[in-house]
Amino acid sequence: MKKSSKFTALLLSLALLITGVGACGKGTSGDATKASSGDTIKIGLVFSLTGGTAISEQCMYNSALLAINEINAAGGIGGKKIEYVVKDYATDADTAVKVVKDLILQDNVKAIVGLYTSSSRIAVEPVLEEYKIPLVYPTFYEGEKPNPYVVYTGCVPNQQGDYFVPYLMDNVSKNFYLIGTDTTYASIINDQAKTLITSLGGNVIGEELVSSDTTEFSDVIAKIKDQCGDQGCVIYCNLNGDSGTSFYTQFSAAGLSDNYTIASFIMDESFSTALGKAAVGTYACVNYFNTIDTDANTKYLKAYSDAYGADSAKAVTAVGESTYDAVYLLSKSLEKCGADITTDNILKNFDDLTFDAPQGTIQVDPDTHHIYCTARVGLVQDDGTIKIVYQSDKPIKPEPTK
Amino acid sequence: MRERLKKIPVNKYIDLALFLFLVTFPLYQKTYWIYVMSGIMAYMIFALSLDLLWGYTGLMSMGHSVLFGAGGYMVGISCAYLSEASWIKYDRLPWFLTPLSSEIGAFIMALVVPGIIALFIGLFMFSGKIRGVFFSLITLALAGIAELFVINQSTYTHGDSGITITSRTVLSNSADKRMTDFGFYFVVFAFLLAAYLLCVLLMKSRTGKVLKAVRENESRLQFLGYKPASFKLFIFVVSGMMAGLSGVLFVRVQGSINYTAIGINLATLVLVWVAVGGRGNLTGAMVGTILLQVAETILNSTFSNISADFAQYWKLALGVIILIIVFFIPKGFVGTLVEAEQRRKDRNRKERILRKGGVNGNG
Repeated sequence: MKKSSKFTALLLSLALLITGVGACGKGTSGDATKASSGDTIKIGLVFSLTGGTAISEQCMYNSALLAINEINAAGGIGGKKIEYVVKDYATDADTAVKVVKDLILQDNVKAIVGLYTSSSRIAVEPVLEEYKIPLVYPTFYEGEKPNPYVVYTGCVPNQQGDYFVPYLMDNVSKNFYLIGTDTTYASIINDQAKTLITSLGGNVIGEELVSSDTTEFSDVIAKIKDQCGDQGCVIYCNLNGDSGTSFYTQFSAAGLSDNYTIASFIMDESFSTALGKAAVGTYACVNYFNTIDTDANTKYLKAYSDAYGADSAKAVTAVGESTYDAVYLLSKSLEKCGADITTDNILKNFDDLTFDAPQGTIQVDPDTHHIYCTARVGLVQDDGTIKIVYQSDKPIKPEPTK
Repeated sequence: MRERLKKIPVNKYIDLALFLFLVTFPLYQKTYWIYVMSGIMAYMIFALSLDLLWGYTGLMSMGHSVLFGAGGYMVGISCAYLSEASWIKYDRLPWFLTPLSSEIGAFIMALVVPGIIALFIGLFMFSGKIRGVFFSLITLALAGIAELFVINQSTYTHGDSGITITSRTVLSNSADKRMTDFGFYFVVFAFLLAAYLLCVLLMKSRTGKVLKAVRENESRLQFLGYKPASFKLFIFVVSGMMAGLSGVLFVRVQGSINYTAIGINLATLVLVWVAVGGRGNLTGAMVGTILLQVAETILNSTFSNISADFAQYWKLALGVIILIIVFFIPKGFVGTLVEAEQRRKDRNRKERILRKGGVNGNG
């Protein structure tokens, strides 16, 4: 009796493990039959649907689906419909590697669109190189030596800061106080700003880097007030996530906004609508604001609002728009491939590809696989929209390694 | 023979089944699952190392990921330095990291550095007689500090962006020496088996008995003339080195390391694995890890296969499953099994004694 129970345990555990694995096997074969249906092109979408950056990535995910549905409704890519698989990487670089491998090995996707954090992009780059699968990365970021398997549809610092800082110096103040989350992104942005401010004859009054979970800024605000005195200054702020919203709210509550103006890369429509009064009168700088007056933008926002509601259309952001562009550029590149869809062809066809995007016509730079785009400075209005107060006269060449 | 088989506790049979399963797993699985299972096996070593500390000795470390990450980062920094990664701006490593300039040195450092970290934390805490919940809280804080430390030391760790290395090599960072997923699976498997056997031997030894006594009643042990502090320090260092090893293997499987590998997130995850499997019998740690990691992988991909709008709820489902397990079987899967067996043994013994009609029968 006793011994048999032990063997039952042994058998049971073996059975459990094998059925468990059988289940994984089943999932795999199901996918394989789906992939072999031939008249579709399969791409992978990777976004954080859960996790710390899910709020920012919701708009990216929505825009990607919107673009895919539009392309499929218009007849697909050369008659083939786009089939997509969505994966959640939960703002975690290790999970990103796992789901990207899942997409490549299990789902056999031709290309991947997505990712938001730099850490996840960097972590999946070796996987892309190993399996030779292209990724279209839609987020504006700090710039890097371009990876041959990545196409970047967001803007890089030379398409933002180089125009932002001079505008602020001419129109707001020559004194700057830099504050940022202690990340690679903020430190690169701040270094760029410091060089620029000094060379244009402005003053950097102070710099503060805080850890990413900081939400209490009274000491920082007191320090800014102390060091700047009555002369006022621009607060060049690159705090991300909750840190950013806390800073804006606390700064507005401190009642200093007459003398000091916050200017930030991270300010976008989702922040400005969420923050309400605290964001009014602050500056933003990116290649797209949803107040841009182009036909493509009107069409995009209309479709977005039909699909996801008018309120979420108000919070469409630059990363959302660049994800929309990313899917369209990818579809154009796939279309050029014709029947011969290989990674080399997909990547090669991105060279000089243009798209009439909501932000205006964009073009892929063949050397870096980044996009030419227009730099824009925006001012947050009372109703939470961002008014464009400056834009560069022509699209700017991307310089990701600058 | 029958008598001997009877004496073997039930969890050893599960161990045997588990290892048989693991050794045959890659024979009938696709590359993706071989890769996923290699990562899980690295995590299993990590869970074993925590079980030594928490399950056997009663020290609930809520910051065990510090030691895991320390091991991983040693390899990461070494590989980045040796292959001159583009973000590197320093010319040479600081003196205490010079062993990282050789491939074997990096492996040794990945074991030694977590050991040293454990030694210092342990010296401070055990000589200060910090125990129970305070030990847990301090280690939890350490995980938070380690995460920030790694982000701040961006000169060597590449800050929040993390380091990428060539995956699936045992010691080097060159793509020529990269093994197949199939081959590297068995490298990790060998390390897991070795780690498991080490744990079994250690816990069978007299030292293991003293460690269990620390968990059961530290004051009495002290009263009997033992020094609990030195035993705790010993197991903390051993567990730390093992965690470092698992960190190395995980980074080698994954091909990248970043601050999440050293932070509170992973530290809590490993506690959940051990808790769900059942602590204090090695099997539980391994079973819990494999069950939850496989569940996580399957749930994530199943949910996104059902429908894209549904994809975001996989974590919710996982959370509910974990809650149900912890609520209904607080001792974990294997813990409950072992307990049931023990209860039946006790009952049989009692019956035997009663049959003999006296308490002086020697069972």
